[in-house]
Amino acid sequence: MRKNLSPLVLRGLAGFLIGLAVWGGLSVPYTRLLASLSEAVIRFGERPPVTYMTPQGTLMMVDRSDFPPSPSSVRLGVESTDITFNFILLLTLFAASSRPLSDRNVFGFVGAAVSLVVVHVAAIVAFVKADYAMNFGPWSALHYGVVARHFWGAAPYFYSVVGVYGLAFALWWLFRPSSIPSAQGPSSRKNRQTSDITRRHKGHRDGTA
Amino acid sequence: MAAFGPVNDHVVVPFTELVVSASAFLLRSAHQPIDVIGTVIRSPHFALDVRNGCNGVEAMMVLAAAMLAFPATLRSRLAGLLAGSVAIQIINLVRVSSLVWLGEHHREFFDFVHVGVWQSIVILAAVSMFIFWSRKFAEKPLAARS
Repeated sequence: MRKNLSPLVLRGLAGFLIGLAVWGGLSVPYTRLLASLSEAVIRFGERPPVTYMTPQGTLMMVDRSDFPPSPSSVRLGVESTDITFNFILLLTLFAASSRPLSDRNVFGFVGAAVSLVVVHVAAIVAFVKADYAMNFGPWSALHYGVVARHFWGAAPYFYSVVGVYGLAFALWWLFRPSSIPSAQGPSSRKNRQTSDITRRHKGHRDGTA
Repeated sequence: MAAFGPVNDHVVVPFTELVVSASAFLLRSAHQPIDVIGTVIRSPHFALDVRNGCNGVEAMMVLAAAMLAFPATLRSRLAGLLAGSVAIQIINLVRVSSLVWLGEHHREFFDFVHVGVWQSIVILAAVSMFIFWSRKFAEKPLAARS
């Protein structure tokens, strides 16, 4: 039995275009939000808090108050669009669902999108920590052990190559309607019917025993 | 594994140079003045260095991982891998060529199309190919077994 794939492709294409428009249109304000959230997370783990992030368009400039920028120093800039474009993938996957505007699909998408914000903040923290662990010479060696340097050094690479795609698919998988249990869903009805049949069968057997 | 030094230097980089040469050929066919130096493709006002992530290798690896992990006959897997890899590289050829053209003629759209459009299209293409392959070919041996 083969299903017609055209509606799925059309829904996916519509979702892709909407995702592209939303992502392109909201990239700058979303970068401001990500910069403030990431700054708060990084500063939470610092004693004293020294990191501050300044959004410039879709770029987040990272500075430390204990290493004041000088004309000769290289400042770290994290490009938010390289981290956030998996939103387009996520929207495409939810849009390709058989009932894209159903409550469960919409709520699932909202849950996945909120989780994706957490993923984006974690990715930005990883990019900043990688810079601290790898690019500050003796200061990095003093404050980050060998394992920590390898971990933070690999984290941005992992996110850019695998995580940016894989996490979008994972969130879709977790939040897609068929993965959310429902008291009135078809699987529950089926289970209830099975239980009734089992009970009747058991009763019949009990009756004849 | 593609990031492992010797594999990168002796397999991935020469393969990327091949991708760049093919894109240059395509653009020259469209009367674009193009130079190639290693993995860098150059037009009069724009140069693009094709690196890991832009050579289609990761999408091919995603497809290979999915097809190899999915229960199917060896023949189905090999056919899927071959056809899927060729399709991904054709898409990637269009991607690299269009990005060079955009960089030369409409630089203002380059970043948006590079990050937002093509990265999503390539990975969605790889996943779609896997879904298509798993429905067309990989279901048969499973059905036959049951």
